[in-house]
Amino acid sequence: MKIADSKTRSEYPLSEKKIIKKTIVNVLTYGIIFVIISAFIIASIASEGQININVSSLVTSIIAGLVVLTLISYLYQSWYFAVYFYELTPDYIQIKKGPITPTEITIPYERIQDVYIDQDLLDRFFGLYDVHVSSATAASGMEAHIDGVSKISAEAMRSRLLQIVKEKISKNHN
Amino acid sequence: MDSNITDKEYPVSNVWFFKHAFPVIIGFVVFLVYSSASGLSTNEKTDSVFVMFIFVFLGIAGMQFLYNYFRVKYFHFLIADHYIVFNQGVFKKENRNTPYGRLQGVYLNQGIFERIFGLASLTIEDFSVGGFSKMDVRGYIGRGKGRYEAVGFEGCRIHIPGLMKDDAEKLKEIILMKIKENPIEDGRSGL
Repeated sequence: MKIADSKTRSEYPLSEKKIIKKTIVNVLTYGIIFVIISAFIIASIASEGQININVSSLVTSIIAGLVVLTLISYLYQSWYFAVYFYELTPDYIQIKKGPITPTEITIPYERIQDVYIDQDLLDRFFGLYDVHVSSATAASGMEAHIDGVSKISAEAMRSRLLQIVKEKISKNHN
Repeated sequence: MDSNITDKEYPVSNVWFFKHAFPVIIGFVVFLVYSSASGLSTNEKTDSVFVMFIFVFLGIAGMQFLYNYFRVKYFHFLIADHYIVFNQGVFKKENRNTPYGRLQGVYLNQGIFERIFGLASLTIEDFSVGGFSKMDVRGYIGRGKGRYEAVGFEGCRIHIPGLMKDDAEKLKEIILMKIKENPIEDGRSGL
């Protein structure tokens, strides 16, 4: 798939491990729901006692379902990864994501309140970092983040952003 | 740059009026296809239940359409030199004037409906009401089945729905340009 064309993204690339991490997250969340629903259906069929349940074919079909789920998540996440766009333009930071229903966020540097980096549990396992940029509003920190960059990129991006913001909000800028 | 850009230059697309009626229309078509495929005779098609179904579908779709139509008809904006003017409200009239120096961010969104019909919506944020709004950054109010797209402003967000994609891009550029042209002079808080 063609990677989104962005100077900033080639400078501070997204890690490909992000695809695997997100696939694992998807499979865990939807996989658990899938297994629970299948268990319910099987239990209700079994309680009627009409049908003999073949255990091995049951296990096979559940595993097949999980494999299909993994494949779909992987493809979707690869697509998501490919279209993920972020750019530090001269006046604002721009982040665009979502392959099917895209949202594009544009925040002027002067309005950036803070830059922060975090990792969830799986991020730590894969060595991934999320760079968040927040304006004053409650939702912006959640929306404006660059998800899944390496440590070096995350730190480089943080210092670059802080440098730009410093220049933009200092009193003597033109 | 032209200092008098209004909703006349960047109108809400007529297609958008059907947005909330769209699922209902799809449901209606599926119902019609299903009822003809299941081989109802002409006699049964004039059945009062069948006719009632059609009226219910059309009624809901029509109300959704009118709701969007009137909200958009009474929503106006003007990109003035130093602030944006918004007017909205069918019964309750509201006017809002937001200086460019106070805008916090601009969002350009596309949902499934917008992707299908080549539309996009714009959401603009400032910091009024403490940076909170009933609508999210995609311009939707509410959750689940009661979720609907806002028109105009609520809390810290202003939402312009159903623009043509190119128009939305242009309008976004104009607003970003205005933000740049109206910097915060002492630059302390960015609020």
